[in-house]
Amino acid sequence: MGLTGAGFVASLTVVALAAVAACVRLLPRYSGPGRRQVAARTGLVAGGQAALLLALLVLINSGMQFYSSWRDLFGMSAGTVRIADRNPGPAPVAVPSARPSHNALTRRLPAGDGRLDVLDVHGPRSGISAHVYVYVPPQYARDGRRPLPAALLLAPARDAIVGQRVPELAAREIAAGRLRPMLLVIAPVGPGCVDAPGHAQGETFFSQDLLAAVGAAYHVSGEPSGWSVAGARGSAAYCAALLAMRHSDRFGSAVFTATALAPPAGDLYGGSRAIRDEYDPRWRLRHRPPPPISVGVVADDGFASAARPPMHAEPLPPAAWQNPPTVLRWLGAHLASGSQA
Amino acid sequence: MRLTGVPLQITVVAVALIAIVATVRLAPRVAGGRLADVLARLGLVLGCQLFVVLAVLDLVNASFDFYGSWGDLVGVRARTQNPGVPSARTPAANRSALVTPDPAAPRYRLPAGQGRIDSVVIHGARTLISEPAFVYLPPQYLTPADRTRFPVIVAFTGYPGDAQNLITHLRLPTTVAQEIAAGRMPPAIVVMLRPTVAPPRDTECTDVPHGPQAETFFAQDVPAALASAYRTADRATGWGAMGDSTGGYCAAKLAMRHSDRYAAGVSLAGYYHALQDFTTGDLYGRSRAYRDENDLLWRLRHLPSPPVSLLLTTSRVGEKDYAQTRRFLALARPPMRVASITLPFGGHHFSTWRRELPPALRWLGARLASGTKTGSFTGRPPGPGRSTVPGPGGRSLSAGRR
Repeated sequence: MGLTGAGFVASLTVVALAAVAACVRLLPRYSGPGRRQVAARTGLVAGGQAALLLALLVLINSGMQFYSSWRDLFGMSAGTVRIADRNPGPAPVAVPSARPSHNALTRRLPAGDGRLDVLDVHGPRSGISAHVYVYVPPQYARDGRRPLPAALLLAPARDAIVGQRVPELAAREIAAGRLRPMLLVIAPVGPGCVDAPGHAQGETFFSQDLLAAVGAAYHVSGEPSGWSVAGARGSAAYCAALLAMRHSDRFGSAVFTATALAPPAGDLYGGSRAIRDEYDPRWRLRHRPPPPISVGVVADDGFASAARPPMHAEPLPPAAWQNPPTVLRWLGAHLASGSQA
Repeated sequence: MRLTGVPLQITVVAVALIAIVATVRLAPRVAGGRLADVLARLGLVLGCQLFVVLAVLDLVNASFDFYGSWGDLVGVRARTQNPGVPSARTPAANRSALVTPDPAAPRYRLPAGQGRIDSVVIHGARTLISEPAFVYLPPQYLTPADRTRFPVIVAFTGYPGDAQNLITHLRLPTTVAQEIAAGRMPPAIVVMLRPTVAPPRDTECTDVPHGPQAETFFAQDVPAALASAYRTADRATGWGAMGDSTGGYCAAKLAMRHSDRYAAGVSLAGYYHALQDFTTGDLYGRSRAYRDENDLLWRLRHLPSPPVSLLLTTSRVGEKDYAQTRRFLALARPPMRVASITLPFGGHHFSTWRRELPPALRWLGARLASGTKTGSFTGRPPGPGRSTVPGPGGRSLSAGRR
């Protein structure tokens, strides 16, 4: 009879109930003071207890699926343990890494200023794809001892490259020695920065896929102290704040605008107020432990003063975004060159 | 009196015996046939049973270390702040060391040449969760001249349960030491934890909205803290997660949701659904959609399979997760890679998992990138390991013991 079988469990239960009933009924017959009488009472009580306990243990065991069978209970061997591996082989499949290439936008950078690549990122974790532009300073060396730090600038590529000419400005600042050599990754916010239950996994894209793709294509820092994120307005600013606050293990510093920190509208939070709060930088600032990050807050409205250590926050001039070198220099000052990978 | 201590065991057994003696002595006084007498006798027998059951429960708990202390059982924490509970007045986490020796924890000593086990507390900088842990360092790590970074295996026990179950019941460090010595797996650091970060609540390694941030603790804080104290691999390819039961679910979930941190996972009889019962309470902010995201089968059906290797174990007889495991294996798509162990029989307990452990470790070892040299300029401060060399009082672990 199986250890966990319904028949075995039921019969033990019946036996236990019968033993208790017998105990209650038979005890009066042995009420005397003699040794035999006491021994009989002890036997009745102890037997009843044992039967009841056994039934209870078997019942719990079958409910919890602890020991599955008598063989299992007595520790008999289940034979050789074999691994069925559908993909035998030493290493996991390498995710096809994006290779830097060029297009009309990237060819605009003057020679001597470093180069601008475009990276076609297909996020294997989020399923999100994006064109990402990477400014590579002339100091970059694939086999350099120290990897370069990097800043992620969340902005429409055309605005940042053609409009604000951020790569040229970065090259000029680096050449003048006002900005430490660093990679500048320009990515559109497209999918947003929320892992919306049942919808786009934008947070996973920016915190995992994008960094893994850049890390596979370039000799770049893998430490949070070597990564910054910046966003000027709207969803980009929100994104920069959120990524630094929720992923301080990836981004050690950030620049964003305080006026754009409300979580985006829409069905992004699985219908849960609490989940929306967790995606609200201001709520996190009040209710979650301060993360180990440094942030520069443009148009500060009290956000910076509410930050407590180990989080450091400082207000930046309201017009900072009109003068990208200010922001770049702030980012550079808060980036550490990474350790050797 | 400690919950798992011998004095309490003696006390509860003595009380149960006294109850039996009292029943034997008192039964003659209510020997009549009246209803009141019958009920009194029934009460005596059942009262007796209550004490017997209490005694057995205590012995079982002491043997399996489900609840390591009264605090774990009723939810009072002695030494740490309330984890992850929203508060505007949480003290700043300006502690210098994220891994500190744990003088209150038991110490374990391995035979000479097999490595060392540190009893530590891991402090989460982002979650302010502090959790006891045991860190196994292989003998190669302890070679003074060695500057290699080592692969890391983060191992979780089930719920309820203490991290030392992985040492005493699963015998993880001794098995790892044997496999390393025999050259069947590369030297690796093994960090042993329990998934319970807010005892007695079962948080299932989930970031609970408005609640404990267990997932962030294990995905961000633990790797960062370990990297600050030990020469750990600096890429996800050197990090693996493993666990049994709830710990298996945690390992698989961490690998699937954080494949940028853990490149491989082993789930010994873990389940796949997003558990919710009286031990967990609401873990998902009352959101069906968020609960789905924590359901590993749902993820495989609705999200890309992540770039991670997973080994799943189950039994044809004795495991409730057999059908779920088959479904998981059928649903996994590249770049995810899956392997499995299916025993003909074997229940949900450590002796089953002990049988699966050596091949599982070999599988995991083969999927972890071995150590890289640390840069000479990354002068890491000496880890707390140096100050936690187990004293002569440590419990000896013998590899030969079965």
